[in-house]
Amino acid sequence: MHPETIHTENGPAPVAEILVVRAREGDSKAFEELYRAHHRRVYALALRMTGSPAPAEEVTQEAFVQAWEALPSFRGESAFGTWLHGIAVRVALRHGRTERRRKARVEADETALASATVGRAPETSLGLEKAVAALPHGARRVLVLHDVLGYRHEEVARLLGIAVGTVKAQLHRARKLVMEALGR
Amino acid sequence: MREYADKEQALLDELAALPEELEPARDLWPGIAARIASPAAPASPRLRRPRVRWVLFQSAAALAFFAAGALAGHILSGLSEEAQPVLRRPLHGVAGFEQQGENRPTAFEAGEKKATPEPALRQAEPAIDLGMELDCGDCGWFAGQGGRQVWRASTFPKVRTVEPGGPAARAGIRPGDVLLEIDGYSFIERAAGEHLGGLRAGQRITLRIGRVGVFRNVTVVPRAKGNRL
Repeated sequence: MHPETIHTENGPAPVAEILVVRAREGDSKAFEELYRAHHRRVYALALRMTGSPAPAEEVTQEAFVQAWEALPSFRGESAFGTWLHGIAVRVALRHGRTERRRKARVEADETALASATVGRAPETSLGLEKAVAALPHGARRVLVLHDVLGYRHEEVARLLGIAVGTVKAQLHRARKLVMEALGR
Repeated sequence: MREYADKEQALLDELAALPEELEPARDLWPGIAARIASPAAPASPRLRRPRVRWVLFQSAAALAFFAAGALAGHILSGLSEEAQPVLRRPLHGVAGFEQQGENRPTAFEAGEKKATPEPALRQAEPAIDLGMELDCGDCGWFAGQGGRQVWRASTFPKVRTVEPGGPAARAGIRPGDVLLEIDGYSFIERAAGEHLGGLRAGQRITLRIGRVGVFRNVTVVPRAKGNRL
């Protein structure tokens, strides 16, 4: 640490904010530290939104690249993690438009999904993760955005460009399919 | 019905309790590092394709605009009796700037997107002086709409020298500091330049500066006039 150089008018600066300032000035090492701190959360979001590990990795990488490019416009009005989360959701949604490819991949990735989550998630949630991953594309996006990430119906509708009623219908269908997949 | 509602609630509880973090099976940083080091070589063509198309479109629009600007400048320089110093540089989405003494439709008014270059801006007297010289490539004071001065910078300005005893020195700004924001506006945004142009001597401003490992807000009171920021 460098106590003589880490100070603000309001006392010591939070490490995360210093990393953001450094990264905004082009320091890729500082950005790597931000990546190390946030990548698991972004990857979890991407994995649930896309349904399989390979596109989730692409989305995670793309989200961080876009965050790097957009850093000069980051005003610090929200926490870096919140800002990054918004970027990751938009990247994942755009990625979802190429969903047709996913169907060809799902079976091959099923084993990989298990290995990516096992050890971190208990057996019950592993089954739940797989049931969510197996949902149809539209239903999965709505369920993840609303039930896992906590977006409101109106926010989900705006993000997906669909009616609120459609969101509710998709959500009902998605939950029903997950419960069926879990044998309930 | 009641049974279904209970099952649904149990599912919602489980979904809400899913772990917020998952570890990817491999380290994704090397791929990101390669792409931020060489943005011209996207690692994922599928994701980058729309952006590549957009960049190509912008490049074509920029070339067309430069050609039109050069032609107009050539014609106008033959007509104008007063030769004005003109700085040609790319600016983004600047509305209503005077070009060679004439008001003409700008890129912004013509509906172009923000990366369209501004063909010509006239340099102007500074509106305020903070007593420091900056390194920032193509930053400086320019004549905005109605002859009003505006500050423009496409990169974050770095302080080269600070006049001893000047407003910047009194605020604690040192050579090597990077100016990030002024009164909450990022220095590379157009709004920051217009905000700077609207300031008057004696008005207090807050600059957010970055140093190696440091950031802080400083309050500066500009002087009446000078030839730098």
